[in-house]
Amino acid sequence: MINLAVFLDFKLDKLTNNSKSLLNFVNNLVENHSNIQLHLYTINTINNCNIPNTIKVDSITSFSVDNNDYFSINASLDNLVSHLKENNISHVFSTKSILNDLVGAKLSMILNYELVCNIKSLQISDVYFHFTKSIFSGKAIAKMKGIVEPCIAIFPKGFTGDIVPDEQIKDKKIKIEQLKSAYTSKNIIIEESLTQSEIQLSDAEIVVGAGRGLKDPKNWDLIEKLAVTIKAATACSKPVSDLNWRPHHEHVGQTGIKISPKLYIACGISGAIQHLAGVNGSGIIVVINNDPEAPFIKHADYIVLGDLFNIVPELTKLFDEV
Amino acid sequence: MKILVCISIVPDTTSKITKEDSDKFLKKSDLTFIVGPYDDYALSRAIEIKESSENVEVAVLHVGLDTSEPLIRKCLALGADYAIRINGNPQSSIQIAKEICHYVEENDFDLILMGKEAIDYNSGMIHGLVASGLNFNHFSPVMKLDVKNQGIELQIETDSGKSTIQCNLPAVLGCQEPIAEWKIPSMRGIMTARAKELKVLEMKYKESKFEINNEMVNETNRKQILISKENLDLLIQALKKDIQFN
Repeated sequence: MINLAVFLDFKLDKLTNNSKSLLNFVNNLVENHSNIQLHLYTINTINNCNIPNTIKVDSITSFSVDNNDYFSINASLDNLVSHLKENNISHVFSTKSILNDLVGAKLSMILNYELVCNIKSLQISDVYFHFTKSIFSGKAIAKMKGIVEPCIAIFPKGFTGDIVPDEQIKDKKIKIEQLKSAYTSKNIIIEESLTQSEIQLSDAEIVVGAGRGLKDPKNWDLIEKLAVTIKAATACSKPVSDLNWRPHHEHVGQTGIKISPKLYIACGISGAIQHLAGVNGSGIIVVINNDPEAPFIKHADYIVLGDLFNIVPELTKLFDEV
Repeated sequence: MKILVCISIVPDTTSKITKEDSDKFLKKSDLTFIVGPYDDYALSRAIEIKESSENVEVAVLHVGLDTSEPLIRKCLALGADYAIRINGNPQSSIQIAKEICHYVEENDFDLILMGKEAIDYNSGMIHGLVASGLNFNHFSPVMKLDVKNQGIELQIETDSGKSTIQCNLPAVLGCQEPIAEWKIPSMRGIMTARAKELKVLEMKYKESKFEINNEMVNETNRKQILISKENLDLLIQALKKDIQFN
């Protein structure tokens, strides 16, 4: 019997798209392998928990640390580690996020479990898990040899791509078991600021990105209008965040955030290889650029050549009519 | 205060990754290697701290083969005091983390800095593993770092925004921009780096539970459909087939 723990992410009590897609994938695994017993966990503070009713689990363990301090020494994860041990958890799955990465690394060292990240695909034979993973910022894929068991596996954003639309899911309300750490945080939070945008870039299904082609930070309202119309998150290229035209957390690329939305619309971005490394996991790529020689064009599904100052508002208008 | 900066040596960000059909692994012979861009930020910040305060010592550590020594010398030229290379060809993040932990256990450090991730295998896990192995405080990604009140003050990115935190040492930090500006070694730095110590130790944790046995270039074939700016409605029709706009 494999005891599999899946760590889910919630934003305002709602399951994130990344977690929905992981849960969907795990549900298929459980249906095809009768020897897998599923356990749900979360390290987000939640008051309410609904999961798709296809998942045959009745409760979720919500683990919390004083001050939300998961950054402290190992003792901060004390009760979580004991709980995982009591349930004989041999595999832990989570989706990539800052918090899940921190906790995943600690659990791997404390439990002495192998750690696999950026998983591209997974097969199970008997009780063994085999992985392929994405490397060189998505430019290449590696096949892993050997048996990865037990392990902590962290799945990238947009791992499966099949998110069942909300209206097709009948949610099931499940019990939340609270599990608190006995550790008292010694770190002091001086200030906290929350991102204003409702749609998180890393969890967005649609992203509108813009680069130096916008010419001035004042022109970003064009991009924001399009983004609001199609419920997209906004992103930018490195030169733009270096110029302080946009905040650093919007920088998408090899040394910024890596995204894999279903649709990426790139406006006025030439497509340097470093930017491509951050977006090559996207489902469909639309490039709007006035330069027919821009490297991005070779990596696009749809190309619109011309002045983005005319094309973007026109596109926003057409989407608005949809 | 003793600071250890751990560096990765990775293909240049502009590298095009290729593979010969007959080979199992990617072609690495014609790639240019650099110090990991995030590690470079971490090193730059460590050197700034050293330059602005007294009694700060900066060491650089790399787990890898001797081909990386010219790049380790570059770190010394930037201002690090000495360097350690743990000789070997590690296969996993855990292996590298164990080597770092072992070195730190034998040589006390107050602060361990590294990039938030290495851009070759992108796991971004080594700082977390090292922190856990040593039972130190751990933060990543760190965007600002100041030494204050016998501890450190940090600005970190979180899943929902940013936090400013005061924490005690020792600590392990995964760094990212804008923690510091990249530095270029001065001529004087390059000259003095030649005389600085570069210790070579042997890897202890040679066992890895798994290894990579095949690498492939990831090629997504894109549709490459040109849409005229007069017919943007065609683009919307095409997108609607695959994407649900609501």
